[in-house]
Amino acid sequence: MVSRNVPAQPRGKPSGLPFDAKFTDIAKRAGLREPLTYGGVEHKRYPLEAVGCGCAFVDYDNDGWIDILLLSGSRLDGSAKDASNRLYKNNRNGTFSDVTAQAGLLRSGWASAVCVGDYNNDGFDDLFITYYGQNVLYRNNGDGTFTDVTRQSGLIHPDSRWGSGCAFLDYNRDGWLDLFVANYFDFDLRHAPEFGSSMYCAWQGVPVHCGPRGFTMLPLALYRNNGDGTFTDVSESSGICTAHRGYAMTVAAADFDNDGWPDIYVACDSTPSLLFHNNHDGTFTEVGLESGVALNEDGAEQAGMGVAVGDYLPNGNLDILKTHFTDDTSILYRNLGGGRFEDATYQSGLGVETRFISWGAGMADLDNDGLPDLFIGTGGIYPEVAAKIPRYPMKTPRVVFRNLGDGKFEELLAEAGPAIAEPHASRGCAFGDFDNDGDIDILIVNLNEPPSLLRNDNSGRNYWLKVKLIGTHSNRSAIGARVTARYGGRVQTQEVLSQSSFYSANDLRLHFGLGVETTADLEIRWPDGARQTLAKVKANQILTVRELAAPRAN
Amino acid sequence: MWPVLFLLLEASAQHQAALLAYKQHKFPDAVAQFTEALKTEQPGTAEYQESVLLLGQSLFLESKYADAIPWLEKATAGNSPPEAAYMLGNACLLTQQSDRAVSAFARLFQVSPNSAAAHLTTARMMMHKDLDTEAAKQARLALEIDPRIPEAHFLLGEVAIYHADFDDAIVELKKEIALNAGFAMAHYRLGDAYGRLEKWDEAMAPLERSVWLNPNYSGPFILLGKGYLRRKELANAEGVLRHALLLDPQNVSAHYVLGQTLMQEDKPNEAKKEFDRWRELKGNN
Repeated sequence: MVSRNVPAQPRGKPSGLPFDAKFTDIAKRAGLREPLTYGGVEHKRYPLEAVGCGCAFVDYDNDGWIDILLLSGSRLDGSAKDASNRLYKNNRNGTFSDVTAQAGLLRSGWASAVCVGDYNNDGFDDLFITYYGQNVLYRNNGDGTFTDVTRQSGLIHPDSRWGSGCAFLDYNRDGWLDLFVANYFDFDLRHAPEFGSSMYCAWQGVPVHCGPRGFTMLPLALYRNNGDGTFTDVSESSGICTAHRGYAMTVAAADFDNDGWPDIYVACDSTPSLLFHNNHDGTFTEVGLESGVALNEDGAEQAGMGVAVGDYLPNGNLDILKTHFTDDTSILYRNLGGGRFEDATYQSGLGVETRFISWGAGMADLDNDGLPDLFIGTGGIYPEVAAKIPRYPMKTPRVVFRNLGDGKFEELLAEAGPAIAEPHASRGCAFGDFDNDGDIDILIVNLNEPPSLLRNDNSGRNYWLKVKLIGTHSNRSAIGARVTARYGGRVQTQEVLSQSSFYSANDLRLHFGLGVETTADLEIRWPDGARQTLAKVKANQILTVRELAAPRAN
Repeated sequence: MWPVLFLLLEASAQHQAALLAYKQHKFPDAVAQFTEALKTEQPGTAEYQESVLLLGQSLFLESKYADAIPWLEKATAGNSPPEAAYMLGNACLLTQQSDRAVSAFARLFQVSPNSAAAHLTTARMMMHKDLDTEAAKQARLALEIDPRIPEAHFLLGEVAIYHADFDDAIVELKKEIALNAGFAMAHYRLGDAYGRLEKWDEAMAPLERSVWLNPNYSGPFILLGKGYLRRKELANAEGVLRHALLLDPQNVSAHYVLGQTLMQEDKPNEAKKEFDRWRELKGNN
């Protein structure tokens, strides 16, 4: 993984403004006690052990309370045969119950990412999980169980691959969710280069596991949903696999250029990140460099693991936060409109933090003041370096940047509660309101430890609004639907995404903090382009909006 | 007579073997051979002096800096090529012996060992070895001796930028310019410091001065390009970036920033050429 080796910018004086959101890790008392196995602890021989996996907040049983899915890895020595992904049902009282076995989701292996979407439009969100090996599509049967339908859906791939990010999206706007799948690089445990064996296998003078440089990049894949439970591989005809490649990681599919069609952003490690512009005709054109989201402002590559999508200014355009390596900043791309972005990292104040390897990320209004904040989960990848160089530990704290307005952020070191400073080797994180109390909580994957469940105890009086969308002639999950909220002179846009953060899936309900405003005007743009407006929607509620039955003329 | 002649011939052969090993870059062998040769070579002879010098250099090239120092000091006490003082100075730096390094570099650069110049040249050599904190100390020592010595404040400014102390950098660089207004790099780095603080309005003037003083270095042109782009003066940005690429056609950053400028000017076809060139230079096709 590449780093620019840049020093952190000076922090400046703290604003002194109170921050109403305080996070406490309640995972243990919530029943999330099982350690998440992922590779060796003292020694990671191969990159497979180090990259880790994602998690999801997903309401799999449609009871209005989001449940938890935690992916899992394994151990090379075979000592973790019982390690499995875990599904936890929300008991609605701050606790969760492990229902993995009943749900049919017990599975060992090296899971990477999860993306969520109702691919068969039966009203229940399904799961696609990427693996080192073979990816899996789990159809939600609607009765608390899932069935592995990978083969019958046509998603089996003939060779073993290291699957990375994925996203359900309706790229052709036919009402059915299609599937985009990324791969990290061509890696085979049977023939992998050995630890410390080349120039790509050392960091800070210490021998480490190899990669990604030195490995071959793999093509990406796009599968069109046939509407009958099966998919057709359209990777070539769509232009996806013939385009530029990278060491692909997290995927975020959203309409980044405001033309009404979903585009696909792929964070890539050590190589230019990719933005596939939807040409509206079943094909895509890769425009990462042209759009300004492939590199930093100087044209330098960065590590590129996680992606947060949101509207931080807010001004109605979707911006992108991408997370990176230690001795480097995460990067904030401000959407200029017209499909162009600029690197706003230093202007926004994010340059003050370069200490940690950053993974999962969210652009969410943590204190409900009407301005989306930033949260980043961090963690090391080289235990061998951590053992020799204390400056690069494996377990590192979380990072919170509060939005000050006017495009500026301030890092909060102690103001967001005790859970922020707790060090872990974290990876994916998911954002959602598991206790339905009107604020954003955070689920975090910690390698070789139990997960963290950060409950947000918001002490302020700011108002909020949560919007749950249900498609009727659009896909039922409403993935790709966009909500623009107007409140107190501000306009903020969000889209329902199948994946973001690092390899993770958030609560599909869109959460808006409204500050002191008690109502908001909402404009909903459904995936097929139809629009619906709702005026003066009252704050402090979870509003369910069903797409109008008949498609409106665009 | 014959045993003496035999010894002389053998000593000479030993020296030749050591020399051969040195020339073949077999430095461990050269160390062993010169060490052996010095047991029989007569001090004061040309052979002896050469053995001392090349033993010191072999040890240095073997990264055995502490072992190299006494031999290099002996070599530089008499007539020796400049490399000896260079290696001695660096060996002292790498073994944290700053005072001895100052003496060595003073000899190398033919200045008095107690002079401001000796400390400043040592500071510059320290910067090459990423010993920036030590370099700053030496630069301050230079200024204590001669507050008007050129480039000491510049070096302090560079160190401050490296540590992201941009406000300090601006102070030092302005002091340098007050003493040394014709120093293009100082103006460039002042512009750089302002740019890193996102104070592009303040950055532009020093950057312009830098290129007026030295139109042959691409760095300030590229930074000017970034500044113009940030201020949405796109035609100016395009102009300076194209000029930067005339000076430095393989600069990936210039190609990228020019590409972004062209995109904002709504010249996508020209932008694509720049991005394609970026990919070519990066081996990223």
